[in-house]
Amino acid sequence: MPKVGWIIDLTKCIGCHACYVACKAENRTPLRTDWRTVIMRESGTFPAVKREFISLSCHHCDQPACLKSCPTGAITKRADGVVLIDQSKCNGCRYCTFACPYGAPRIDTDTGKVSKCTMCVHRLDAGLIPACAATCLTGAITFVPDFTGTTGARPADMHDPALTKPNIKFVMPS
Amino acid sequence: MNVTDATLLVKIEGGRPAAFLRASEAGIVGGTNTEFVVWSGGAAVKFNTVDTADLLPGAVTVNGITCKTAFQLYVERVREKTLAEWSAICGVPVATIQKLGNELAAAGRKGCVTMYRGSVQHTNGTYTGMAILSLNTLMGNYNWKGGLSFGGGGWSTSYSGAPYSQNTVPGGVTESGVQLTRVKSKYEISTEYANKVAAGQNPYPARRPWFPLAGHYNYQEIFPSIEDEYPYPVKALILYWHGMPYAAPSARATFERVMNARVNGDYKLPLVVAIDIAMGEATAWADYVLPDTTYFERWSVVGLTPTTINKASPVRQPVVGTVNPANGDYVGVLPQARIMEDIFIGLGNAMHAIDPSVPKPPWRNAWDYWGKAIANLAAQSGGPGTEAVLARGGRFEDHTEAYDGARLRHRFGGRIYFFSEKLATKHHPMTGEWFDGLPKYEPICDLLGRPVAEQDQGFPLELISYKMSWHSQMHTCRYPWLMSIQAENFMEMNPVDATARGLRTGDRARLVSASAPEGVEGLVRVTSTVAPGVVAVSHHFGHWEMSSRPGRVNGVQTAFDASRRAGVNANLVMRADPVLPNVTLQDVVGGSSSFYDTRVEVEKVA
Ligand code: SF4
Ligand code: SF4
Repeated sequence: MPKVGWIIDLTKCIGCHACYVACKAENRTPLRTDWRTVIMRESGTFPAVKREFISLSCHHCDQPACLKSCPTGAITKRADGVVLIDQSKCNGCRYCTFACPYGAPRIDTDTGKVSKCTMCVHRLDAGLIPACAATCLTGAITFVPDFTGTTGARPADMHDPALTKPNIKFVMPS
Repeated sequence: MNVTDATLLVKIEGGRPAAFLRASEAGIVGGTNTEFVVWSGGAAVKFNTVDTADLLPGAVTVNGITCKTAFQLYVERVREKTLAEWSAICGVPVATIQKLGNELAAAGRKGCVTMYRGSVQHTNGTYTGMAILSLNTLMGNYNWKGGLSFGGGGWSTSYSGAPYSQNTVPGGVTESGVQLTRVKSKYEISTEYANKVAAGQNPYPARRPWFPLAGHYNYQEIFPSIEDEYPYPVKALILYWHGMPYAAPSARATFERVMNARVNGDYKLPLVVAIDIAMGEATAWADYVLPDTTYFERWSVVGLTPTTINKASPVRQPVVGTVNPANGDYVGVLPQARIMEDIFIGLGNAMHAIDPSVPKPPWRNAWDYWGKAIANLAAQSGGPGTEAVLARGGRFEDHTEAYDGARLRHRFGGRIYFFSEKLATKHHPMTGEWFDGLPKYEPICDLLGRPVAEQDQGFPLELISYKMSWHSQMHTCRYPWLMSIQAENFMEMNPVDATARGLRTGDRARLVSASAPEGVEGLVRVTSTVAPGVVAVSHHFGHWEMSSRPGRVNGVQTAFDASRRAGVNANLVMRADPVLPNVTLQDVVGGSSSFYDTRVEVEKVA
């Protein structure tokens, strides 16, 4: 069965955070429980200065460190590759927040448990794409239903994809 | 192709370009005072009688009048300074200017220079805007694919032959007289001017500036004019979503003096009514607040900017609340909120009930008004009808209609000017000098034309404001999802300036200017995205109302959200005009506030 993944185009992202807001609106996550974030950083000195925007959520890895770390069996990986945290089984121990190299699992500020990007499974199951990808006005986020290959080029300081085999690729600025 | 004024002769009077020469003045037989004149074959002739005319004939004398072509004047203006001198003023290296010039020239009609607030909302903004547009004139890119667009425009909600007559109010009044802010009026028509002349005095400066050429309502002059009762006292003010003390530079102190005069019983402004969606910085002071609906709860036809080259009329309609299908009555989410048009129609009906000689509004409700307006635009030139327009969220031309070969389909048809006669024939209302009809560089000045930099010596940094990509001007502080992206804003500075002041990201500091020595206090962020010598503050934060603190309604404390107060508002520090300190620096030609010309210092707060 094909597996899901992302292609994030760093040459297109303008840091508008529409994906972030779309995620909150779609999933009604509590304030500061942010399944998708946009990293904003800069390099260089004036006038040769560059800004970088990187929109990230969960990479729905092939070898999810979160899943291995979970003592209650709350984290599962579906046949299509979506990694989910079952809120009825999560006990809030936060092991997965330490295990994930990419910071995807988030403490739910309402329940004290941990939740993360579900890749909008309720939308996928209805034949739709995730809300962030549907909202991004520049086309920087592409949801891929049949992800193949490995991460390849990635933003500086992102942890080694060999750790968990994430299903994400980046289009990097030349 | 568009025509320009390049070859038209301009009269030189008193050493300055005064106005276009007319055929009647040139002594041309049968020439009238509406016909322009060109120089062709060594003689002055009517502009529309020859195919070619001289572009750069130098100074020529016509019927005893010294003239130059508009283009000659433009070229002379450009060459008043060397490239090195221009470069020294703007801080862009000569090599960069030349490189950009070459790239632009190579792009031909597909090269375009555009502007928005940053380049023109300064005291010299109109002249700068003219200079920028003249580059497009040189490129000849008007109405060409890739060139300067005037926009596709939209369909009309009211036109002759429309299904419904929308813009005629039976028994309605039409506006007349001078606006409070003196927009579109010349000082020279005022009683003040006549009295000073009659008394043998120099009529300049006017007590406050007049703006004969400003097209918009120069917002920043409203409260200062009310305070000065100039040109007349005001009895009532109706505000709509108005946040002037927050949104206009250096406006809060004047606004609060006017409002406190009311509190103290010194009624400069007897009645203030606000229609608003939130208890904003101005609305919080109103005598009556009529709650408006949100953009999710209303109809409207949205105008587009010239960046949209297709013709389009987006139509907004309620997506929440309930519309009565029988009569279009709308009830929004909150029981007391009303669509603005419903408020007006309700007021009209109430006035009619009190005094039957006041005509009853011809509409039942907001939908009755907007439904007819939308029906008009949906019917214009064989349109698809209301149902189709509402279903699509508007009426849109097919995108393939944008171009006509290498040209835009929707074009500007008028003459394009290097020399603005309209400008050259008006006086500066304060200095009494003629305005200049040509683009020019002038330093940032106060209302008497005196450079501000010289008056702000102790303030080495330049203050700019900007908008972040996820906020709009003043209302988005109410959206917790947006406020959770970044809880407050910063005084953003280059590492060079921060280091010199011992400042690091996260330090508390005070931003002060000559006219706001008490300043505002906030956090510093050190970033190379800001040029040395500049402090940048985003403009969405630093509210003091917006239900960021508890209010009282009928003795009961209202809900509030303190997170809306976070951050700093640079407008509170922006420069008051040294000549009239109750208003900000402004462009006397175009009428805009200056949003960028304040010099500041950032002081560490221990
Ligand atoms: S990104 Fe982190 S949370 Fe998501 S599947 Fe991989 S390890 Fe688990
Ligand atoms: S919506 Fe798209 S452009 Fe905007 S921040 Fe997200 S990824 Fe970037």
